[in-house]
Amino acid sequence: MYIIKNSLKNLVRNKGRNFIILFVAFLTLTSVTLSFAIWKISDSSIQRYKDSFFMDATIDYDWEKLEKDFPPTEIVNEDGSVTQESSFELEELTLKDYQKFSHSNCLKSTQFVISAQFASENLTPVPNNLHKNQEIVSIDGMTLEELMKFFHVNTREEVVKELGGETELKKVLDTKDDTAGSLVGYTDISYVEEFVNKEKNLTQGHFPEKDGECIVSSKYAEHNKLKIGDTIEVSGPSKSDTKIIPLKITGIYEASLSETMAEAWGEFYGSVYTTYDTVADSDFHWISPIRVVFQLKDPDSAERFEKELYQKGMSEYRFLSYANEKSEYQKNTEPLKNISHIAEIFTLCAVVIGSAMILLISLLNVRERKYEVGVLRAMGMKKSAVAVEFVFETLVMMVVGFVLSILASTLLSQPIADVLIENLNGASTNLSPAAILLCGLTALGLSVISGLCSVFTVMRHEPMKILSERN
Amino acid sequence: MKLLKLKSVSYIYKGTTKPVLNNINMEFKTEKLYAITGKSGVGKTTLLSLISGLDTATEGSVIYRNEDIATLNRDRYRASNIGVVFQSYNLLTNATALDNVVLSMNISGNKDKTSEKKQMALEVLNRVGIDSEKAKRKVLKLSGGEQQRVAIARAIVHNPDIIIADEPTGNLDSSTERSIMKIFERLAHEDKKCVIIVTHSATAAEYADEVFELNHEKTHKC
Ligand SMILES: Nc1ncnc2c1ncn2[C@@H]1O[C@H](COP(=O)(O)OP(=O)(O)O)[C@@H](O)[C@H]1O
Ligand SMILES: [Mg+2]
Repeated sequence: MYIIKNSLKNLVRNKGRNFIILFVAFLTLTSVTLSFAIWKISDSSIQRYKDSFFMDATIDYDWEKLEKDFPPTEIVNEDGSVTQESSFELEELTLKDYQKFSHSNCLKSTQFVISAQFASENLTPVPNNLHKNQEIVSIDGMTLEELMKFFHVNTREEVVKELGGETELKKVLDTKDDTAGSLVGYTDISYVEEFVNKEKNLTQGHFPEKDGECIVSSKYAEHNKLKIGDTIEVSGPSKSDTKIIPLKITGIYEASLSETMAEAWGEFYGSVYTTYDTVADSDFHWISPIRVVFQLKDPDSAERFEKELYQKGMSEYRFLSYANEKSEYQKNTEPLKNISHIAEIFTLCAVVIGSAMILLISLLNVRERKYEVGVLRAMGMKKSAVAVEFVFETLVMMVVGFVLSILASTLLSQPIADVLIENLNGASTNLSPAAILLCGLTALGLSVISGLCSVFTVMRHEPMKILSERN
Repeated sequence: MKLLKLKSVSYIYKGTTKPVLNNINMEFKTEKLYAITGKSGVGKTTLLSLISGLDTATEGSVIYRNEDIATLNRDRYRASNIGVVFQSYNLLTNATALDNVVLSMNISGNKDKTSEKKQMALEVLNRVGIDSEKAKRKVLKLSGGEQQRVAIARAIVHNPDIIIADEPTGNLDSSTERSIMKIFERLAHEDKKCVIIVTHSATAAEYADEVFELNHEKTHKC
């Protein structure tokens, strides 16, 4: 116990020597803590900017490359006009393709808008006003004979040509004759264009919040006598789709398309909006992606992601196109990265230089220390007791240095961050627990250096030698 | 009572070949004041460092109460059984006289209350001629004679059996020398200690009950 008391007294007795050590320790710890804090603050500003920076990407056709590799052929029509026809057809990307692409650690998330026709026993499409006097004619579910009659042709080939492909024909033949609208599933309403550009607006109720909820147009509701709270039952468009999905109506939207356009496209009113998962999990045939937007984690991962897409089988005639500029990102992050880097180096330097200075001072103090060791040991104090006394002295000093540094750093971190970092992006300038921990560890390191010097002095020298050398 | 005995003690400093001390035999008893004299460089200080357990003999042994101090815990021996007044005092110069004396009590294992220890230290300091005001001064700010007295107080405060002093009057004027020697005399005769002082002052040697002269050939009992 007296050892502890004596070391506290000793601290006061040797004010001069201890003041220098404390001062150097304080400077070192404060520099370490502050530069570490600045380093972390700039890093977190970068991170915050990254998080807030939405780098949206979509997959587009590379028309230039397509035209270069497959020059379009010109076809002269009967009336003398010329149409250009591409000699290469790129297959559409399916929902499965997109889902495969979306499994990537380059992405923050992927936004989907997908759609599929649906059939229903008790719902019918809104009649097209243009053909008010006529019966609405839908080719869905027609037989080949009916289709030949409809197109006024005589062969199957001609029907295929009219429909634009073998698959189209198969699809028409396989479609139920009671298709009643289309189901649109989305992950985020702000990616559904018709709602973003206000062609459609929710007027009653709310957007679907859970799977199995939907909204319908006011015209569709009126035509089919539906209201909020009703449940409609829909099934897939193919004759082989038997699963029936109940959808609860939670809202009604108004389609504010010009009258003529609306009339020309009665289907416009037939869209039933629901969640992405409801549609994706429906097992309906022919679910087609309307819009798929990849949200990259940060612009730095764009290249990596594109490479990944090609590896996963994306055609070379497609590429990733970005909704926003990469340069803006760089402009905002580059200075922060520099500050972060400089602060990192500064932290390291402060640790190294501070340790070196403490070592130097401790070595210079060895002479004085040696005399103390000699006196105490000659009086019969045990080696271990002398060592404990010296180490305790160092520890007390470092604890004081630590506390002062934390105080100073707390006061200074905000103003310094304000000066150095132009755009904090809302990052906190408070001293982080990590900075306090580092300060503590550095203080401990300095104590070890200084303490080892004294302990070494105690252990290595015999009191007689020390005293006789001095005299 | 036979307290301390040197048996055929020889000592050679590490890295040298010539022995400084060669086959020394001496005996010391309680209640006696001994003086060891001899030319400078003859090995008086070396002898004291062997007696005080700061060093061990190359050959022979130092026996304290029938035990070879080479086999004792010499930290404990220095802390409790012997008090040393060094030629150059070896006080903690930044500390007060009082703190130096109290520290010696602490090291010897005195567990009394701090205030009691301080009281006792002050009494001892007063006894050797340091008043309370001077006791609270830093050692640095005391004269040579005063530092000598503090060193004596530090050496006797923990009540050791043996007190040794290396040229305690070496750089003091003659009246101070006499008063210091009187302290040692009292320690031997009144406090019943075994006091051994190294000196080459004839005045100092006069106070001794027994004088040893150390020379390169042989130790003479005068
Ligand atoms: N640490 C040492 N190493 C080697 N020789 C020493 C050492 N200390 C003292 N000596 C030598 O030992 C001899 C005796 O020294 P010392 O005991 O101090 O003599 P005294 O106190 O009688 O004047 C001297 O010749 C001195 O040079
Ligand atoms: Mg000497």
